[in-house]
Amino acid sequence: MADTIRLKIKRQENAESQPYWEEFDVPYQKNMNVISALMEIQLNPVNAKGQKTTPVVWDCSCLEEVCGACTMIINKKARQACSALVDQLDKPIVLEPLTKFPVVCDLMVDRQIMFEYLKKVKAWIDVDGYYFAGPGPRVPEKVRRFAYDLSRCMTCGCCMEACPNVNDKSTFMGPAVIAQTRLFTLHPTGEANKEERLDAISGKGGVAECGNAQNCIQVCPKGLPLRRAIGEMNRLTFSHSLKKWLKAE
Amino acid sequence: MLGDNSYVLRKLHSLTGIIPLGLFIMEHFFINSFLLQGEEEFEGAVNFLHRIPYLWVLELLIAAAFVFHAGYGLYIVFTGKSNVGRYGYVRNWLFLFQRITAVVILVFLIVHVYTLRFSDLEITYAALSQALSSGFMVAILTLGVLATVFHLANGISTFLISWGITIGLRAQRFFGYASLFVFFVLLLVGINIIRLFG
Ligand code: HEM
Ligand code: SF4
Ligand code: SF4
Ligand code: FES
Repeated sequence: MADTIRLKIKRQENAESQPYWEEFDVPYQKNMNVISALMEIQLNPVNAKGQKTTPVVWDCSCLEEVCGACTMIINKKARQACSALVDQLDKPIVLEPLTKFPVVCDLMVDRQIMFEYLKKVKAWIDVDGYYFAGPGPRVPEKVRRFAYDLSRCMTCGCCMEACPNVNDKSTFMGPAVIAQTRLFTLHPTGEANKEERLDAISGKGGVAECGNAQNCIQVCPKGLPLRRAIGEMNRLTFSHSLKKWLKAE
Repeated sequence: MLGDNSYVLRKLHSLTGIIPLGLFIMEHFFINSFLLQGEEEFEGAVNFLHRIPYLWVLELLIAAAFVFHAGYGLYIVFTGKSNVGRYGYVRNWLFLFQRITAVVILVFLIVHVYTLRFSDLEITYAALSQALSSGFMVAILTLGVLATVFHLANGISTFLISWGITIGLRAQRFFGYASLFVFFVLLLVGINIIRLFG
């Protein structure tokens, strides 16, 4: 095994500036991941040509693939840097920031839009009062399992990065928020806001704008049941819209 | 009533792809296939079509559906950004082909309808055979049939997903293969028509 690893990084000083490529050779360590390779650059910010440069900026938090903060494009695929093991990657390792979110600096992007989308569909359960109302309704095991799988979304944005219908020309909000709408319409206490959630997800940018490319299903690192979530939301939004139209005064 | 009508437009777009456009294509192939029975049978079938009551209503409906499906379809084409280079999965390629064929159909149908429907050409076997038998025409027709048949066949399986009918992997895969079957059947029927005219 070579004792240095070549990294090729697409850098960008700030949201407005032009991106450029810079290469680095970092000392190899056994079992290192992309984050630890980036830490080596931080330790010694000298590029492959031997020139001193600014340390590469990236984002991370949990280091165990549950927060989604370190998501970037690694060898052309969107994934988490913390779980990308250097030994398993083709060299040189090419790192790029996600393209569907504004770049803050280098590999760090601003995924705020995902949280704005979650707010639109009220992806939370409202408190049902400030007194003890007894235990909540029981959830059948089958439903619980599906809900749990949906709840594992870490808003990493891989699905949006891979979705051909999410881009700056379209209004589509993407698969993650569809899955979360499914999750919160499944919840027995979340039922109270079901209509509002369905209104939001059948409105502009909603599930109807999915083009069935199904890349999201392939790339989600948490293996969310996106196929079922999208399929069921297609069904639910249709019956919701039809009922609403038939009942409207 | 129609505050944000993007949902209705999407659903209408999806629906018009099958009813009436998909049905029309099937009818079109069916009537043309009367050529297999001979020239008189073909001309008889065409004459029958021309005698259908309220034909103009049907034609108007199909034309309106087409204008809407094509217009809104183009908007959908331009708001997508294919990425098969990075994510080369089957459905992603189908997504891209659905859009490429959409544009091909648009160009093809304008030529096709203009030359055959809005010209003084009499719809008889002899006249059609003469108009369609050049190598150039055969190539254009073959491309048109290929694009239309792909677009319709793949559209059937995405239609089923878009309306929440096929939800699980097994059903989606089943209708994926069913679409492939429809694709080949319609392709053979279409090519056969071109061959019979040539
Ligand atoms: C100018 C011509 C056309 C354009 C621009 C066009 C465009 C499109 C586009 C972009 C889609 C994908 C929609 C989505 O997945 O969200 C689509 C779907 C579809 N199109 Fe077309 N189309 C055209 C003509 C036709 C014709 C002639 C037919 C019938 C043979 C047809 C049948 C369908 C069907 C069945 C779907 C599937 C609907 C769904 O996924 O729900 N299209 N079309
Ligand atoms: S299935 Fe829909 S949401 Fe998923 S990648 Fe395709 S277009 Fe995007
Ligand atoms: S659905 Fe999957 S890919 Fe999309 S944000 Fe959630 S965890 Fe990431
Ligand atoms: S740091 Fe949390 S997912 Fe990588």
